[in-house]
Amino acid sequence: MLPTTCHVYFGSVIGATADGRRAWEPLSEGISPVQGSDRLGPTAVIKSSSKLDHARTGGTLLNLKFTPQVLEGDEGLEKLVQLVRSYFKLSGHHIQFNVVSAKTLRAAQGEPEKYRDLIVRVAGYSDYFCDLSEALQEEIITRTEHVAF
Amino acid sequence: MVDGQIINIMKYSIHDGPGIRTTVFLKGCPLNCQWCHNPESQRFGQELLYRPDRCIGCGLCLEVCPNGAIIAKSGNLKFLRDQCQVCGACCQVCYAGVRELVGKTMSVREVLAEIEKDVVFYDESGGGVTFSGGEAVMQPVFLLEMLKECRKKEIHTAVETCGYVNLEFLQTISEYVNLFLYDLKLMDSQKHQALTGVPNERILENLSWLVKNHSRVIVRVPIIPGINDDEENVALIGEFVTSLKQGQELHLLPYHKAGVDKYQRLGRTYLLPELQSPGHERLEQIAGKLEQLGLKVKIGGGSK
Repeated sequence: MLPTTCHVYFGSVIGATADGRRAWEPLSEGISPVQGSDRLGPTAVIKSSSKLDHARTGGTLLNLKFTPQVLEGDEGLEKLVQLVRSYFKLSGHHIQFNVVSAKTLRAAQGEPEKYRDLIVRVAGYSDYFCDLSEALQEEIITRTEHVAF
Repeated sequence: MVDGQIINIMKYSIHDGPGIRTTVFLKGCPLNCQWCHNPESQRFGQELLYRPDRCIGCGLCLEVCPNGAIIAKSGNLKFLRDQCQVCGACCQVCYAGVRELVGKTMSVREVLAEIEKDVVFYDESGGGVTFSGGEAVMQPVFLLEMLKECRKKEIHTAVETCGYVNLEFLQTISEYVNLFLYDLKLMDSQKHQALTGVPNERILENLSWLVKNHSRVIVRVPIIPGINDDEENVALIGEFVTSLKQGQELHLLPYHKAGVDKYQRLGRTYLLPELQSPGHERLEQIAGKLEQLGLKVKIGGGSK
């Protein structure tokens, strides 16, 4: 089963699973890691996803989340491009990015176990959002709110 | 072969040298900078990080602690750090992530295997591996072995150093290092001693040797408001670095508060709680001043 575009619906008709997911909660998006299981950063996700034989799937979807600050400037963007190129070099099929909003960060504060993978740029330094102190989380949320899309 | 004491191996590291990198943090540092954002990197032995806010009260730690360092008190679990022998038994059973042992003994082969996992990203981005810390050069035998192995595999290497190290070690490893990220904080040795625990003469001497003898060095200056961002210190840093090499690359790293609550998790007190990050304007001013002195300045730690 490949829950691309319908991970919320599929989840809503599937009971609790052995990985700790509760009944009726969403599945992961496409081949993206189960919510909260990605703890080693984007390169590890890409390497794991590339181990699939994508030609046999009829299409896959890999979703990565970043806060706007991680992608800041030419340099941040360039590194994103290099991630994509590396994924294709490894025979990946489809990768897309969510640049998260302040709303998502609020949700992460409420349910950190689902958002352990969220990487934020602090200041010349990146860290997992859920590992930061509440004060710093607030600071980043305020900053994020000021970035327009 | 000597093992390394490792804090963490961070993938997709994009602020410690060019391209997409893996940064290996080695534990233990000869300096004790008051503003340090990685206090868990300062001491050489293992330490216990404790985050009570994550506790779900399962009580498993209570059962396994052989030293009576955890007690149940009116329905809550209480941690008596003085009793803790850092054996790590509680960390193995704590699935809520309240208790975490920092510092892990790893062999050259194990660390190399982690580094090699991301070669495809290094190749695509011009990245590689950065050895940081703590102070990577304080584990010279392990570091040298690592660097030689990376050279064999044609992986670009960077070493971040505070410079307070034996010059001979530095000379020995330099042959296998593609890029040095060399921290420079304060030019006044007394002030340096008071705020970092050591004087700066050796740091300045080692930097002189390195800039004159190594092909790629980037000087990194953390900008800590009220501590080293004064006109005098900035000017002295600029003059000193230019005197070593015209057009020398220098990066300004703005102070940030990401490490503040780590002190609490380690049971330590942070001495500079009032400190704020420098504003962008101030950073631009400092960069401008250093550029006037003939340096190649950049704000932030990544590079091309």
